[in-house]
Amino acid sequence: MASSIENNNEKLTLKSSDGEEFLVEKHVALQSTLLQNMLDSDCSSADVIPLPKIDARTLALVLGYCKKHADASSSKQGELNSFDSEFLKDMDMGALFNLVLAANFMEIKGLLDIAAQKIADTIKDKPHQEVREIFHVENDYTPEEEAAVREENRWAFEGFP
Amino acid sequence: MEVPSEDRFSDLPNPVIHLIFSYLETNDIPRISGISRKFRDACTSSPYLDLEADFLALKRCGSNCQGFQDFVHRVLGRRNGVGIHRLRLSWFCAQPYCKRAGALIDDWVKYAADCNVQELDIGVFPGDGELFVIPPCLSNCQSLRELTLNMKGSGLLLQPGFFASLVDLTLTNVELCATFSGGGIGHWISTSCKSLKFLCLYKVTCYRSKDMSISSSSLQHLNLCACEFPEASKLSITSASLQHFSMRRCLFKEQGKVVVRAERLENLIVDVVFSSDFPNYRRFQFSIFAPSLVSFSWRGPPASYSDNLEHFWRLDEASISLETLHFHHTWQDKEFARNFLAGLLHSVRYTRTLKLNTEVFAYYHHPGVFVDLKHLAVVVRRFEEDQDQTISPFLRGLRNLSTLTIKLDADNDVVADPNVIALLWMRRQRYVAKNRKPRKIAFCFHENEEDFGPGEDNEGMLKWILECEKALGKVKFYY
Repeated sequence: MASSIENNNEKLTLKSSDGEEFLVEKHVALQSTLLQNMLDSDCSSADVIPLPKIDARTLALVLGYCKKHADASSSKQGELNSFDSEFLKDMDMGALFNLVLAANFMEIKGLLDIAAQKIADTIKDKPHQEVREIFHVENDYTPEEEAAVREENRWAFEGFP
Repeated sequence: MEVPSEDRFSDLPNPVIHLIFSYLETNDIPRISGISRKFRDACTSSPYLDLEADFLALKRCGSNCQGFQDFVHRVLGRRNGVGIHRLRLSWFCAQPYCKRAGALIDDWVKYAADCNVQELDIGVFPGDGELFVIPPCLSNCQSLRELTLNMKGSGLLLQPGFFASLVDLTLTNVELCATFSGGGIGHWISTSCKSLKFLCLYKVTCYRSKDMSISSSSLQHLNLCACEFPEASKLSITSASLQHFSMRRCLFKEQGKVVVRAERLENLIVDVVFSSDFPNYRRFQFSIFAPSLVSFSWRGPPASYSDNLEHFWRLDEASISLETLHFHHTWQDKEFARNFLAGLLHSVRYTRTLKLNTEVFAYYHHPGVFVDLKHLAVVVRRFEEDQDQTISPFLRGLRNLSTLTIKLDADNDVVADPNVIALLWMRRQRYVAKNRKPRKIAFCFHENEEDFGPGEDNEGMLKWILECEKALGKVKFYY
């Protein structure tokens, strides 16, 4: 940990799946447990770190999140919370799925949590047909089966349409 | 229809799907099972389950109750090797047919224990007059870290057990009658839960608590909220690890005694109520040994404060709110209240911040003897109350006071009357601490603060007051 504080201005380069390179300050990169582990084990920060599963658009979003959280002091929790809720507000589902996968791969717990919460909220608040359309889920029930499942779980729909 | 390979949800790694499920709420899992088969399979193997059905208000529980039971059986019975992290299972049914509730809950909890459940929250109604026993399979469950029981006011029988990993225990709406061995909940906690750090009793009625003593070397937080002690009770807590102890709105119907011995205790809240038909305030005693105490709050009627009380050397903030609603105003009662306050104020004399309600000044007329009191707050029910004149003797004893705040009881509506502000302005001479006039007075409204220095002329001030239409929350004097 001591070395990361000394070399606060050190930068490293991340490369997205579509070949774009991002120059990132080390303390920002440390928000990612994956990168932290790579830097802790002898990985030289001079190297370019390839992230083959993450495209440039998603990586830019991820790094924006990391920068905000790395720069804000812990006393500004309220500001971070409002940043978090704004961050995902109008994001389309495709981008959100890319983001949750990137956060999972790079092990950025805070980002993973808010993205998962956003997906959960989408699932539970919307009618089934809408959820199917949003997530491209194929309805593999026959109409009779679907009615039977709904009848079986009728007890859970108290107070729901 | 899209081709299945584009089903992005099912393509997510399992840990991510499970994380998403952890954010779902009560009964979401059975509701969203209707989306697709794949969805249903993912749902029912979720390590986070939150299922609830309450049929207590119904004459007949009908097929919905059976549907609930079948669903629980299905999700707990077919785990496909996926463990259970958190299970919340609330099933309230008082139908004769469902009388076997206890047995069914036992079966379900057994499934969960076999799946290494870590957090378990059970809601059950064993029926009027029936007792519920914590399923024995939990007693040796190594994974269980959090346990919550909600029983809608019915009785719990505590059996001796060994909850080795249990860190957090919450009992809600429970009637505690006795333990199997007759030792009481204190004994049960002390012997069965050796790793317990958090204990919360909410709306628990404690019978047979004549000698409820908890001794623990792991407990850190102890919260008793809205608990009831119908019989003469002695509550004794001995713990070298305890840091926070709160008793909020706890009702003692008979004699009560609270003894706390906790070397590391930092926060203590005592908030007690006595039943109005038995105003036994003289019979309530408390004694505290807590040399590390930083924050102390007392709310309730006068009580017997033990004489050999330790002083709180490290105290930073103290709050005393005296309640004298059912108080008989005989001279003995007044004497009792005076002695109680003298003892209590003496023990908090190292505090830097102090909050008192005006009731205190009805019984305590002496200068406040405090070593380093910087901030005093006085809570009044109404600004019109004329009791504040009795504050001045108290203020005379405070040499180091830097602010005095007069504020309204939070339960009351905020004052908007310009007359009140005018009255406070006229009375400002009363708030003189040790012949030091306030250097600044601030009227604090909900949205902002308006300051006035001593040079402010009366005319300009009164003009401002008459134009004032804002709601006053508190007045602050700076010395």
